[in-house]
Amino acid sequence: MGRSDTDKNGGVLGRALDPRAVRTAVCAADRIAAVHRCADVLEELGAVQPAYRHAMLARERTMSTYLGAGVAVPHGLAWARSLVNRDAVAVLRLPRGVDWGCGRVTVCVAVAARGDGDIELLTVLADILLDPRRARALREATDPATIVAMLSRPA
Amino acid sequence: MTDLAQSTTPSPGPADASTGDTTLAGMSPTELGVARASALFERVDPAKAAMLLENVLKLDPESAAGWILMARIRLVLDQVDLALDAAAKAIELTPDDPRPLATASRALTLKGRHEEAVTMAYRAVIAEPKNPLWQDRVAWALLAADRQLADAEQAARTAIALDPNEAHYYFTHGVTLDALGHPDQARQALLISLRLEPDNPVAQHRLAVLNGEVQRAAEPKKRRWKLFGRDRGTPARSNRPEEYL
Repeated sequence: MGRSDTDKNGGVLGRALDPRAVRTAVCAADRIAAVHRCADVLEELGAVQPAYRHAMLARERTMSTYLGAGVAVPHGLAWARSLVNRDAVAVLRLPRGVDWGCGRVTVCVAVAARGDGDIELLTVLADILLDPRRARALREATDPATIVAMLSRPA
Repeated sequence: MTDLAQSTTPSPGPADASTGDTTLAGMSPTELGVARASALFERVDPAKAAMLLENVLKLDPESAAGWILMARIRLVLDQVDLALDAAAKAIELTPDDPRPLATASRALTLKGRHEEAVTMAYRAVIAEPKNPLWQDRVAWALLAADRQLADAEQAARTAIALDPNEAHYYFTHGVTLDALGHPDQARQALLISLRLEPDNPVAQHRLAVLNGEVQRAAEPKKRRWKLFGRDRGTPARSNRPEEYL
């Protein structure tokens, strides 16, 4: 997969991803708890209204947000876009992993987007995950700045 | 157009699938039923295949191969919701198999659920990166979403690199190049596609449109470029329907 439009523009993820939104050691008992942790961070950032959490859980129940290679992309259903105050991305590392039904997830990249920003995120993430070296680096990164840089920088 | 159908079952072998022969020694009733449905499907009798498969899956709802085939058949029958249900069951049973992921992606595109369609397409690619079918699905999912067109073009190019003798991938590449506003390159890609598959009417039509011989169908107003945030009112369904033909 190649560089996306967003990469060429300097990395939209980088603009939406604040280092404060990167949590490198989160514990969650299961997939639902992990989605709650993601919603917590987005709420703390002031990016979403509290009800967005329900849209994220509903999205997860409708269809898994598992992307592959140990990464999931929790986000709300389309109807919840009005609950997004500003576009934001949060990255949560789950060192112990969580069973996501279709694979074990160690990184959640949570998205709150007023438009179709989640598709942009998917292309950037897929680009990383298709490169085993970069995928491992993302899963194993323990420094928020490294994660922000990875998601902001063109391949 | 090349049949992009993915093989889901072993060949049914010499048994006559329609007569109920049970000469395929060593196959379980489910395997035999799925093989028969597959044979019916390949003989272009999807309705009968679906009926047969329904009974098989009633008796053995844990058959991943059965649900994978059922999802494909439902799509052919234009029963998109049922296709999605069948694909979802198959994904549950075999989460690492890219085939139901791609079928689900296609169904989701048809339903206008583009973000989920793109997710599923990428999941298929991540599960099996070297299969051009999934790269092609990514391209169409992004085209239908009218987003990340450069990535759609890249996916189409990757599919060609993985299988340079397949006309459909050049066709997809042509469509992505056209969407990106590169008509000359799009024309080249379509010409290659037609060289490999001269009688493809869809590619012929696309080329005629590019050559100005046929009027381009009116497309909904293009979105304005906006990072992270898009205008509402986007059409739910793709305005580039060739993949569904």
